Amino acid sequence: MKRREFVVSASALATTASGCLGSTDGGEGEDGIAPPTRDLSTPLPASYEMYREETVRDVVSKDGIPSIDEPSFDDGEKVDDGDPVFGVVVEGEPRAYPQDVLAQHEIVNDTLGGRNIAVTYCPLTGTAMGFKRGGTTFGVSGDLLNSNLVMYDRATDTRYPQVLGAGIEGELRGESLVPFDVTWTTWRRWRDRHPDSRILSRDTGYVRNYDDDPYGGYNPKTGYYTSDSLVFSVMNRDDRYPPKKVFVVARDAENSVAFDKKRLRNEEELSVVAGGTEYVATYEDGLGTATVERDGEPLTSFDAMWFAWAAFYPDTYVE
Amino acid sequence: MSSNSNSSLRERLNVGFAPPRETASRTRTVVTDNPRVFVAVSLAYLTAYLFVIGDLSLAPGGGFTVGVADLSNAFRRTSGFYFEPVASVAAGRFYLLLSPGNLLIGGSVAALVGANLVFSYVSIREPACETHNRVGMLSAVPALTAGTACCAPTVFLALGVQASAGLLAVQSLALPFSVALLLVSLSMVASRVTV
Repeated sequence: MKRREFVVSASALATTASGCLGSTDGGEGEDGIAPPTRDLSTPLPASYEMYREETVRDVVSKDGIPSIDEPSFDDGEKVDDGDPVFGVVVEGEPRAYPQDVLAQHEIVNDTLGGRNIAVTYCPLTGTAMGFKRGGTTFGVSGDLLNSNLVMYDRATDTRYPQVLGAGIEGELRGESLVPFDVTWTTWRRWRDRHPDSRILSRDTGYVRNYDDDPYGGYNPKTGYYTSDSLVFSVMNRDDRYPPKKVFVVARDAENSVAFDKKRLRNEEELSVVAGGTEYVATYEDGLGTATVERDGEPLTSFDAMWFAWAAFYPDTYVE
Repeated sequence: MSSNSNSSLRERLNVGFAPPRETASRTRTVVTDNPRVFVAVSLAYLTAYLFVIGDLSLAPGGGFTVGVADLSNAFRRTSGFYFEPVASVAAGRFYLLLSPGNLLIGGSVAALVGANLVFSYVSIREPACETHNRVGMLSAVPALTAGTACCAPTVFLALGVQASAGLLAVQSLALPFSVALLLVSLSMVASRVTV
C-alpha cells in the first residue's frame, strides 16, 4: 500500500473555533471554485482502501436526495417549539435549519454573514455538521459509509464522508474540509437565545411531506432513532453502549473523544485524559448542547449516535 | 429428463401457458366482464404501492393544499424505479406526492395485479374454470419492497434487516421480478379460461 494512503489527518477538522464561523481563519480557498480545505498531517483511522471497500454505493442516485441550493427563510411560525433545529451563527448572524426538512435533503448550501457555507445532516447517524464551501456547492453522492452521508463537491467530485469531513476519493483526497460548529437544539431554545433568528422555510423548491420523517421522529423520539437495529453494516462495531445513544464528540490531530450527552447534562462537566492531553466537555443548559475544549482551546464538536462514532473512530476515548 | 416425463410433470402440475395474444384477449374479456373488481383491486394495490414508496403518507391534517415544484424534474430518476415528485396534494390527513413516472409504474403494476385477481375472482364464482391464482397474488408482493426513503430502503427499516450491497442489488430487481411473475401468472390463468 502506498504511504500516501496513510498520510491523512483530522487535525484541521478539530481546530476551528468556537461556535462562530467568523472566528475561523476563513482562509484557504474561501472564494475559490473548490471548497476550502487544509492539508492533513496525521492519519485517519483507516486506509483509503478500507473506506472504498466499506462504502455502500448507489443507495440512491447521485443527487437523488436533492440538496437545497436556493434556500428561503421565514419566522418559523408553524414550527413546533420542541422540534429539533440546527443553529448556526456566522459573523454574528444567526440562522436555524429544521431537522425535519434536513432529513429529506441532508445538505443546505447557504450564504450567511457573507460566507458560503453548507449545513449538512445525516439522519442515519444523527450528525449535523457545517462546512465552508467556497465557490462551490455540496451534493449527496448517494453512497453511505458506516451509514453516514457521503457528500461530494460539485467542483471536483471529491467524496467526503460527513463524519470524517475529509476527502477519501477524488481530486481532494487527503484534504480536510473546514468545519464550523452547528448547534443541535430545539426551536424554542434557539429562538430564546437568538430572537431575531430566521429559520429555513419549507418552501424548498421540492415537494415533500416534511411532517413525515421517513425514519421516525424526534419530538417525541420514535422509530429508527430509538431502535437498536442498524440499517447498514459498519466498519467497527462497539457494543459498550446502545447504538443510538447520543454522544458529544470531537477530535484533533492526536485523539478522538466522546462524552455521553445524558451524563454530561446531569453532571454539567466531564473530562477525559487522552494521550496526556485533557479534554473537557461542558454542558450548556440554555441550548441543551455542549462544548469541548482541549487545554482550554475550543474544538469543533457535534452530537453523534454512538455506533457511528465508534465505527469511524474505534480507538476513541469515552467518558 | 425425457419429454415423456416432462409432459407427465406438466400434466400433474396442470401448468399451461396461453400465447401473448390469447392472454391479452382473454384478459380483456374477463376485465370487461368484471370492471368493478378490476378497478377496486388495482386502486387498492396502487394505494399500497404509493404508500410503500413514500408518495402517500399521513399528515397532521386540516385543509386542502396543492403544491407544484419544478416540472422539468418530472422524469428525474432518484433511485431504482423511483422518480422525483413534481406536485403534491394535501387533503385532510393524507399527503400525496405526484410523480408521472411513479404513477405510470405503479399504475401498470396495479393493472397487472388487478387483471390477475379478476381471474381469481372468476375462479371463485365459477369453480369449473379452475383458475386458482395463488401465483398471481404472490407475484404482487416483491414490487411492494421497492420503496426507498431518503438514504435507507424502507423495507429494511420496517423489517429491522441490515442491508448490504447484495441485498440492495436484489431489492433493485424486485419490481421487474414482480412484473415478470405477474405476466407469467396471467398467461397461466388465461390458458385455463374459455371465453
